[in-house]
Amino acid sequence: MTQTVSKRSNSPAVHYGLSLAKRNFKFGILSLCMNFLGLPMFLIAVLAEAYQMKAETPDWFTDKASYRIVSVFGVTDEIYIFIAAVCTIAAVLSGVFIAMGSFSHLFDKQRVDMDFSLPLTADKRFFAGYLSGLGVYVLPYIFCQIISLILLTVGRLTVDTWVSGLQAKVFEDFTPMCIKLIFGGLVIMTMFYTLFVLTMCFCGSRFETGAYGVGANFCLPVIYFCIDWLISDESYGLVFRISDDTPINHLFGCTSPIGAICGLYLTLYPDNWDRAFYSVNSSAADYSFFSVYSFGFWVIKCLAVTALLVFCAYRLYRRRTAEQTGRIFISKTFYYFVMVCLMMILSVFVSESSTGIFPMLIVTAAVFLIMDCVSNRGIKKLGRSVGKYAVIMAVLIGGYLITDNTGYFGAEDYVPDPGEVKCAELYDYEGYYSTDLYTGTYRFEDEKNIKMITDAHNMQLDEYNSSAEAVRAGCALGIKYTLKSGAVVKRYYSDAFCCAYEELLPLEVSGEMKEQKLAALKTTAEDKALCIASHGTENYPNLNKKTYSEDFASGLINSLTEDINAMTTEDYSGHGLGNDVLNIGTGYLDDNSYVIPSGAYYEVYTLTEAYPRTLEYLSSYGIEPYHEEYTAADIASLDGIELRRVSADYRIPVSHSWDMSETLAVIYDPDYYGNRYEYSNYPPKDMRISDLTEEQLTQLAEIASDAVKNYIPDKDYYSISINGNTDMYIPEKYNDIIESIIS
Amino acid sequence: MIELKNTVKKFGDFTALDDITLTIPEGTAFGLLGSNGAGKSTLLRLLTGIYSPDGGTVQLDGKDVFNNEEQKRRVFFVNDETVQFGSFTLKGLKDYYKGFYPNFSEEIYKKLVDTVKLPENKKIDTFSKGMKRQAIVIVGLACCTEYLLLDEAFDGLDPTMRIIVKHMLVDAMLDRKLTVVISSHNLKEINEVCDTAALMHQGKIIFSRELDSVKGDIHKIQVSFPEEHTREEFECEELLHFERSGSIYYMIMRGSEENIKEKISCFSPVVFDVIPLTLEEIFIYEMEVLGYDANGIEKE
Repeated sequence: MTQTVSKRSNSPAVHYGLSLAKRNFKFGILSLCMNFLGLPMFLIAVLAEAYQMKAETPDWFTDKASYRIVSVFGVTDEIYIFIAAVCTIAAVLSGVFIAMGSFSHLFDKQRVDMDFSLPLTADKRFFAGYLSGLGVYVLPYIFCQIISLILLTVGRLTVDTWVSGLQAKVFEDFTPMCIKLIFGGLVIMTMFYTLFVLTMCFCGSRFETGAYGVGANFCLPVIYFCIDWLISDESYGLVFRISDDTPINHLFGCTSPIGAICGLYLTLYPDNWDRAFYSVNSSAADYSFFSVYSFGFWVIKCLAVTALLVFCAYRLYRRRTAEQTGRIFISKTFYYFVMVCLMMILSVFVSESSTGIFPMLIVTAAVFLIMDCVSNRGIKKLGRSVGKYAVIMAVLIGGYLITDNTGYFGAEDYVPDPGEVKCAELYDYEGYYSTDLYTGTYRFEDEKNIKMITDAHNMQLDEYNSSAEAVRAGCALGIKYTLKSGAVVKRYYSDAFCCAYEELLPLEVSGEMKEQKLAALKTTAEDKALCIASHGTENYPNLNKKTYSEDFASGLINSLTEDINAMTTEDYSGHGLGNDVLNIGTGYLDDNSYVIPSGAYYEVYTLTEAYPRTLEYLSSYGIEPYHEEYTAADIASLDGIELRRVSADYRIPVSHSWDMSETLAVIYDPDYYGNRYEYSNYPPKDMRISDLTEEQLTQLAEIASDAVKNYIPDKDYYSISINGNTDMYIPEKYNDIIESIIS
Repeated sequence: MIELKNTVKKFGDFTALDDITLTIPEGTAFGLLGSNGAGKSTLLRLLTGIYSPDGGTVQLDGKDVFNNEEQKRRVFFVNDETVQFGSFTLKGLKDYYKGFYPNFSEEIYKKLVDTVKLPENKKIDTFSKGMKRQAIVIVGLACCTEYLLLDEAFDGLDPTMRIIVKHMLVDAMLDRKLTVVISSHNLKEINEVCDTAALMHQGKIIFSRELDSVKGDIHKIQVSFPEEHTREEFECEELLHFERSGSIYYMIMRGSEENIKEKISCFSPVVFDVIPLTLEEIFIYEMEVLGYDANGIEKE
């Protein structure tokens, strides 16, 4: 019998891949539908809503009087965002089923003979399966995102042309981020799919593939979270922020799908992240290609990790044999890795939420033993499971104890030698007279200043290690050293010690600090926007939201410059006049001459006797230090008065002096505070304002009128706070009256 | 030519094939016989390249099979399971395998489908067990490979279909020197189709030779003596089975007819008859010697 030999159009590997794609066809259709209901549907909703708004309220897009940030999210209802998010997640998760469909011979005994008997090498079988599944997974996504890009273009050509004036363009602003999202989504989906393929190469059953595939997604984020907890919550001063350009943040943002989502998020809004560890003069998105904010670098990292995952999966697959199909785990290494991560997260989570070690041990033991019994398909090896659990927990607890007891292997107590330091920066530094309105980052390269900082740092650590009763400043202190070797050491103390702040007092009038303050002032002066002197309280009402001539602005800045240049440590730490602070910032005028503040850059000056020229200058314009005068009637109409005794044993930053105070009495209006004045430490005495005698009201009026803000005496003193505002120093001459009130 | 040299295959602690050496010449119909769990399916999977040997070699014409695309293209394996094909139609299955085997013949396929009259566009999982078996055998034959390995090929087939399948195989063997290896418990079919057979037990080859010589080498004799005799009197290597019913003694002995006659004649038999054995009987008696017999298993 003659026979016609068939002509083959594709190679066997391609044919195999296409046949797998056919097998996954249903999931491909599902993925297509879900992808379409994601971003494309959301954009269709935005366009539809915009057209409807245009038809119903045409002026909405051009109304200058009502400035608004017009964004895609402002135009649509939240339901569309919700649907798009849910469908996108479903589309992403379809990768699990597609991967299982392409590699079903790894856990389906009935398929293994069929696939392994085919005339294909293991290499071709792997890559055909991998690429086939990936194609079914991402091609619907790509197709739908092409539709998204078309919709974005339509939006830019239509909706954005309706917007004028100050309004932001709906689609124009959204498009760059959207393109990054689309491309980033593709990268993340590829990584997610590859991770599941790798998981399947480790596991031999469907259940373990699903369960441990999900677990694998969380492993590295879990480790990251545990490190975050160990460092952020448990260490003293060590810094761990997702926005830092550290190796661990780089790794986190690209080594797992969940981490990659976080990494992508960092790159979408680089300007919004904590920039405080950057130079004080960095006000723009000043980051290199190799930082965690860089989208291009994030893509490269993720693709490199994905390639590594493919390589590992391939190597494992090649070692897989047909007889291993159906075995629960081909390699227990993966299983233990996932289980250790799970134990880590559970131990951290339960420890945070409960006291003592036993709740943590009970929960972790229960979870581990159940999962181990499930993976062993029975309780025959329960004894061994208990042993494994004991080993894992011993390692985790031991690791934590070692880390804690060694001060994170000496890192907590490490302060570089001043000779090794090229530059030191103080971060979140409020300064001694700060009123929390501005915290800056200041940079020092002078050896003397660097030594001052390292001495303050060492003092900080000595206080922490030696004294349980050391006084805390109640304000933060962040330090960043750039060493001559190029290494960077960062520390952050959310609650610094007073001694450190006191040690740094001379720094605030050092040449370098003055230069930086003056540079900032110069920037403000050179900014073509008007200089607005506004105030945080009502004490300078005539300065609020009004414009002044350029002469006034430049004169004010000149006065401040002279005062800063001339200032000494004694001047700076001298007694305050009780004046309110002066804020100087930048802004611009709108059409109605309203000042619109721009940026977040404000200089803050606490005007004390150390600013004689500035005070004189303001006085020449009729702007005197504001001083509130009270009458008995004023006192009677207050909501509340607090009398405190303030310890002057430690010189702490002025803004936190109340931390060292003891409240002696509260005098309150029950109509405002209710029948009981809510106070965490119940004072010895509380009175209603209505119970005060006329004489007491008059005395309190005199005291309140003479009280001084920002005044630091050398000995203990009494203070008064009116209606919860800043505490004010009560001159000594009133001590007897205060004591009679509180007794 | 299929060659296995000192082949070992283990599954954990269990040795499925224990130092097997076997040669299957080209163009033969080779039967694999053996007890359950003897290693027949394992051997077939080694020949297909599904498993890799843990020791020794498995080669086709001097080249290893495992992970060798070229060699695997010369072999088609028909598994005893058919559930994996359930989602295919017959046409789909044909198209699937056509993409892997360059010598696939549409003519052979059409002819065989017309012969057995299987529906091409219905899902295979709607077929009966026998129809499923037919479907995969048809596709296997149409791939026109040099070697066709069949694991329980006749299982589920009705007598008529068995004949048709046998004819398909024989036609292919004659047409293109197909080498067929059939593993089956149906010794009648092996007897009819195969010219060579190997008997396996507990991972070892008991014997491997032409069936004619197998049958010619074992004889059942029916003999009667004037006196009573015990088994021990006849005990020797060649004695596979001894049974007495009244004055008649039934013995299964290995060796040529002449040798057996000579041995028995020492005891002056009154009646001496040689009865031909079927392959099934040979199988049972050979297994009995190895301790794999119904009485032994039941006692356990």
